[in-house]
Amino acid sequence: MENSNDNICLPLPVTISNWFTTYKQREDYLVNFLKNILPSSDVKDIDEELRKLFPLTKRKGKVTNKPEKSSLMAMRKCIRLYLNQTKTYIQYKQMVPLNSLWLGYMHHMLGIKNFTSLPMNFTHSHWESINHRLIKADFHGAIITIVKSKCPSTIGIEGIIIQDTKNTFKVLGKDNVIRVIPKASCIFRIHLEHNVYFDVFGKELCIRPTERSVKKFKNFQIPDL
Amino acid sequence: MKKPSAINEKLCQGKDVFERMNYLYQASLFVSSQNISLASYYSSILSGCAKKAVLRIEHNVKRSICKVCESPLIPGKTAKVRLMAKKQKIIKTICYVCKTIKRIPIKKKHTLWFDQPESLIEIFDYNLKTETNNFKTCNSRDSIEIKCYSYNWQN
Ligand SMILES: [Zn+2]
Repeated sequence: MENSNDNICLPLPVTISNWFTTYKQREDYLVNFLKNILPSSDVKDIDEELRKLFPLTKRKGKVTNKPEKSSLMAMRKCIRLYLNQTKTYIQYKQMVPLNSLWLGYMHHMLGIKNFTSLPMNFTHSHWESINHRLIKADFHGAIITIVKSKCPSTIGIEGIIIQDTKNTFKVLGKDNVIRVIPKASCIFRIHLEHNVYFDVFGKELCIRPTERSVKKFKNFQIPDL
Repeated sequence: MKKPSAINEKLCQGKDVFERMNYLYQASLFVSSQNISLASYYSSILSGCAKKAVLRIEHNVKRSICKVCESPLIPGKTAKVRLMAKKQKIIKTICYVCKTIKRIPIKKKHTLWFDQPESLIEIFDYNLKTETNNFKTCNSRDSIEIKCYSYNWQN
């Protein structure tokens, strides 16, 4: 047993180690071989040709450190993430003025002095143009309730829209809790005045808020819910 | 015969986007006293709208938004304003949120193109009888651009 243990620590006999080749040896062998075979005019180019890299070679070229992505974006992301953490710091009472600001904006947007003069039926002459304007409007600060939904637990939630993403609304309820509601499976009722409201299929709002102001909408869409 | 408002709307391209941007700016100023991250979110949508619709933000509005974190810069509340006079006279604003410094150089006889009287060609009035809301058309180089000019937000 002792003998075998000693054998492990000993260097390998020369006869065996000759069998092994290292990377450098193989490279030298290749260069020598090429120098012998190629005509004398091409010998100069051997070094250059070997240095070239091919798409599937195992050896990689020098990895240059890419400059880090602009710190501006990282900064913005940090602040955006902050929004999810500070849930309890927004209070419903403080956000009520935002809704009155939004109502003033909607007056300008629709070009109407009173919301009661909005068209009620599709037979009205302004029906289409007002629909077009409504869907391009901004919904931050609107008071909404959910009328119908595929998910029964979300029905009846009421609150002010705080954030508007592609597939969700973030709604601040009267109990100062922010809820995330998926748009696609809901019908929203957006309140304008005391008794004036309009119902919207959530599926038609599934656009990023910045893209909404530019996108062109089809006149007729078949709602599926 | 067309109504005057209908004609105006054709002339002022992107009126609805301007109104939206106006609202978002007011909203972000309002919210900044409560939640700064929400305020920066609103003004980032403002700049996103301007990018998408290829419209320019009015320069005073643009200068009052931090270029890094996009939160509104209100002197005393979210920003520190200092005057510097080494080599060049500079207005220096420091954002409290991200500590970025914004420097705007001043020259004595230099006024911005938008502030010069000859840049103004026509004013459209979109009043709803009680409120004021002005849109100004400006001629800059060879293209005609329209800028949103109204800001009547009360604290
Ligand atoms: Zn900043």
